[in-house]
Amino acid sequence: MMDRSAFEDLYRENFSRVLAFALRRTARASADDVVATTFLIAWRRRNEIVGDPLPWLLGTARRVLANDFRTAKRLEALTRKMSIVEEASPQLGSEFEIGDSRIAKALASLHPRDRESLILTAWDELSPYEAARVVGCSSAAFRVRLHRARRRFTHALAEADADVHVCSSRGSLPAPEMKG
Amino acid sequence: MIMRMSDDRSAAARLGAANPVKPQTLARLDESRPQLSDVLARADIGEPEERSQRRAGRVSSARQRRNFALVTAALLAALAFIAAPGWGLGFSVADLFSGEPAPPDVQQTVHGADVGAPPGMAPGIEASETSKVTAITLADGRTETLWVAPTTSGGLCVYAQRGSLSGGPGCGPSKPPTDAVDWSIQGRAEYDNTFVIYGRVPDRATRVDLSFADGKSVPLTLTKGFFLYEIPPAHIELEARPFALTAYDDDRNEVANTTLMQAAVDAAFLDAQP
Repeated sequence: MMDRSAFEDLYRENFSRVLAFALRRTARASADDVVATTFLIAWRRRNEIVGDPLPWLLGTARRVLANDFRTAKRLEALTRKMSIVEEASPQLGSEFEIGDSRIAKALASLHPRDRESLILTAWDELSPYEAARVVGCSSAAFRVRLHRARRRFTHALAEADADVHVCSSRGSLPAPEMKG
Repeated sequence: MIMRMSDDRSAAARLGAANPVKPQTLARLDESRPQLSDVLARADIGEPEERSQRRAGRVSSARQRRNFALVTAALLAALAFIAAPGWGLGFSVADLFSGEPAPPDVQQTVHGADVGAPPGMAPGIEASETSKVTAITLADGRTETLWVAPTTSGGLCVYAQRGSLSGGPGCGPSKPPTDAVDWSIQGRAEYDNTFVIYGRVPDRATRVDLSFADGKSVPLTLTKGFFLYEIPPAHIELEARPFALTAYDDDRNEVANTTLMQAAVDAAFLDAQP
């Protein structure tokens, strides 16, 4: 059984990565809560953690985020992160927000699975093997998913760039558009 | 549009540069790391011997689990208070508490948000004043009830109760929103795969429509400015999920239009089974 000392090491070594993971997906105040809940679950289930604990922790944080989307505050926070509607919001560009609205727009246009694959590897800096553990699929399946996601993102980004150029020539920003 | 490998690399580089939490900030994040004991104490769990010393062995594991949910709810409630620009009991709020009083078990759950909250963070819920706002019968025959309770500081706590599955109330300002529709989605795929959307409209709104990504829309029933609606399985499908809430006044003038971004809805429906 993992003792208290070993768990404290695990906590110290992984805290910032788990917090960063949460901050990329929700507001600071909620992220702290997600991190605390994640480590509480990890403590209770510490005997199930084998090998590198990070993918296990991030997989748990992912579920905590999904399950705890009860308050409007939290939803609004994530909305701001991915929002293209709020392109002109002063929130964009502040700490822990996506600074490039075209990136945000391209991401928002993708299928959630593509978005998650890209973010896990590009922002959370996980290898395909680690990311596969987070989302609970095989490494091979994740590589295929990631490859396709990258292609779609490249295409979406090109479209987002083109939109801006077209609108710049008109002298105004594009009307916000939402894709389901 | 023809994409080249260099385009892929360029896009990947731009995506990496847009990372809202840069790797170099991790060390700074570490500075905010609380003591592990504080994290564990939040839920009153720790190693058995510590727990027995602290609680003299009088708390059951079921109670611990409940406390964990309640403390989490209390923290959320407290955070909502912190985020609120200000609150006070408005004229229309008093009417909220004229509904059916909550039974003792609901009052106890609502009161639980105060129990175990860190010092100074308890919302101060007046649980005995908890009143029903509205209730719906879910597709499986169960009832989901929306309860409200005032707080000693003039706030309002809202609790969507579905049997024993719901965690606890969320608290915030007592005044309704002014230019948006407040909303929350409640549900857990691994429990019962049942999802509801509930929330509140601005004071002058008398109608609110929920529209979906597939273009369909449905008017929601408003009770004292609140709505509670079970999202049908067909609208758990990715292409047909909730998309926007639009509130209108008596003259059908639009009062508020809140777009529910799909990225946020994705998270609420993670692992949901259409």
